[in-house]
Amino acid sequence: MIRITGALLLSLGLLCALPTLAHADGLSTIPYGDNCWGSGTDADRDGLNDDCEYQLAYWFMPLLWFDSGESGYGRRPYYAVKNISFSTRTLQVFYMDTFYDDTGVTTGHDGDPEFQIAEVHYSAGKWYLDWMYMSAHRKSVCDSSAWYSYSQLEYDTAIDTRNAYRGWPTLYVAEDKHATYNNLSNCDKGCLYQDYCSRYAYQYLDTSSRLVSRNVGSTGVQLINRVVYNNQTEYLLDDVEFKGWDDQALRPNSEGYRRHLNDFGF
Amino acid sequence: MPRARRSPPPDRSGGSPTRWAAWGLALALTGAALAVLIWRHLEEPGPSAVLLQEDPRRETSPSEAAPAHPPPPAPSARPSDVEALSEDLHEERVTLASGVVVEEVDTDRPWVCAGEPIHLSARVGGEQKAGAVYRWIWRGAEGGAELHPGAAIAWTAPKTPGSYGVHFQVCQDLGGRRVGVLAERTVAIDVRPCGAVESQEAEPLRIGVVQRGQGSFTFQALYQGRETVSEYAWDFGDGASLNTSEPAAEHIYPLQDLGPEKVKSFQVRLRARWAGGKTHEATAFALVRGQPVSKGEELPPVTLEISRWHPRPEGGWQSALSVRGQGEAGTGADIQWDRVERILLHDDGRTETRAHSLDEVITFDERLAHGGFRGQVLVSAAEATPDVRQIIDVLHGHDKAGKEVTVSWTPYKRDPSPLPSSEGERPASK
Repeated sequence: MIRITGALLLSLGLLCALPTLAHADGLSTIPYGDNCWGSGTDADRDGLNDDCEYQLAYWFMPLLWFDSGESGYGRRPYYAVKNISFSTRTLQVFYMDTFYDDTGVTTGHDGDPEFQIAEVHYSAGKWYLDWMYMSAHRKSVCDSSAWYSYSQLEYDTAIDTRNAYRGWPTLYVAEDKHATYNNLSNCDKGCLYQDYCSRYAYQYLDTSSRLVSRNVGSTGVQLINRVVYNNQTEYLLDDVEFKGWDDQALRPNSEGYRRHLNDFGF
Repeated sequence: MPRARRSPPPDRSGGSPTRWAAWGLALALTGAALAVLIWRHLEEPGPSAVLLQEDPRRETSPSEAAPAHPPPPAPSARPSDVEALSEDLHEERVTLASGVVVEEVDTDRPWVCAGEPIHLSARVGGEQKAGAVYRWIWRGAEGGAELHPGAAIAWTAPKTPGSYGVHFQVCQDLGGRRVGVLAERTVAIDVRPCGAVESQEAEPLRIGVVQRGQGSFTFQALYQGRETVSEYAWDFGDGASLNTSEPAAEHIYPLQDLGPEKVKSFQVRLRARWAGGKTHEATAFALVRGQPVSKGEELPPVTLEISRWHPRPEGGWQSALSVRGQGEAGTGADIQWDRVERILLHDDGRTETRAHSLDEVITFDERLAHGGFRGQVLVSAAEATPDVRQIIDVLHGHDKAGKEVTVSWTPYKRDPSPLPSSEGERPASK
């Protein structure tokens, strides 16, 4: 009789405990929820907790696939975070890739300011990627940049099981030119078919510092602007050329990040 | 941490008072559990708001093959539901008077199987309110509130059948944890128990949505039946439609009216017609988002479009090229083109550059204003040898002021061969 009662109770318990929604997506690794808003220190005065900004930039940092012919892996990434809305628990992370060089055959120049913007939101213990903007020769004749919603992105959960659908995305980097795409097919079409991607080698965006102390703030409240590295100086937030800490004679320089930061309101 | 419990001694009492007490306890708990379930369902909008529509997965005859209408949403959110959800979201809800109107909520199906997704897309009209944001809120798995931003959502149904309320809100940040609600509407979702044959994976016709670029999409008809489809009729949701014999269609949504970073959802409808006249229908949504418009910056002097290369009967490859000068709108009016440099990239890293006159690599179909033209780019078989992985053409010219104008494209690229991943480049763990 006790067995019958136990089975009945167990069944009822399971019935009552059945999840009303099954989530197999989103990141549960981030130690902040909606206390990201209005708590802790806020050096860039955007209403967001500084450490929360770092945690989100770190966890949603994309995984990049490079082509076998890539000759310009070098980079020193930074990021900025913008509050979108508390009502929707949404914010954006602007990843400044800061490749040192574009080594493309026809496009070579010092400094390569490609970037991505991840738009994420918080709900019930998890953070979700909603949108990703991928720059691909933005403002050029062959501009292939675009916003992609989360369902159009790839997520690698085999490399790190903490990742999930709507976690950090897998992106494809055009050989030597560093435009980024959501899949190989779109890369193949990119820049009037000049871009070339493959799944040869993969790295996270920041392989060395994991973005620690790389929050530039915003154009309005600058936390990091002047960066001296390799005895060369770059001004990441000013409307000046970006030379990738690698100003070589007889090579053109790229325009900096400021115009992109302005356009997207960072 | 739950405490360990000792197992009760085995019941050997037969029809003793203990047995009757156990039955009584079980019945009481059953009643309590059922009461909890009923209460939970009563918390959601009642059956009057349940969206009962025809099953879209059944076959329809030509006469009854009307497009699936969106289910009528409940006229308004029940304050008690949304207020409770606001409390669970740890926010202070402030109802604001506004002219914002939630006109309609479209769905891709009238009901949904337990555990499967249903797509909801809200249409907002009336007054435009600066700073307004859209969101969906609903009661989540653990009993707390869940939230999703945007006008569209792929909402995953609970595993327990029933009627569930999902609330769409137009909100405004009021500072701190205060959330102003400008307009809202509740949709009651009919969640049904389904077997394998009723699941979405078993539906005879579905639409695959693949974004190809900014505003550019490929839609694929995913048909699982044995009959031969004679025609696919596509309605892209922006006033454009297309009939195809192939199970795919490409469409580019106009984005010029879409503000920077604004999101728009288009409802795509497909009707597949068999030779016998029967049809199947499917619905999907395409999400597009605007890009910021640069102000005060120099526009590129030309715009280019090139098709993917295709083989020529006599050998080699051919692509359709369109070059349009920006004219007065840009800075490079009336461009004079001088030459083409053709760069061959070899597998071993060598690059080989050959100079050509335009006529040597381009056959012109039409000359356009401001130095523009339409034509065909030709690549000979002798150029696209097996060791050439890519060819890049660089078109050189100058504008009226003598300023150099250079544009480039690829008229041929070998498909990349599958490469093993480099073990040496495995990323450090996050």
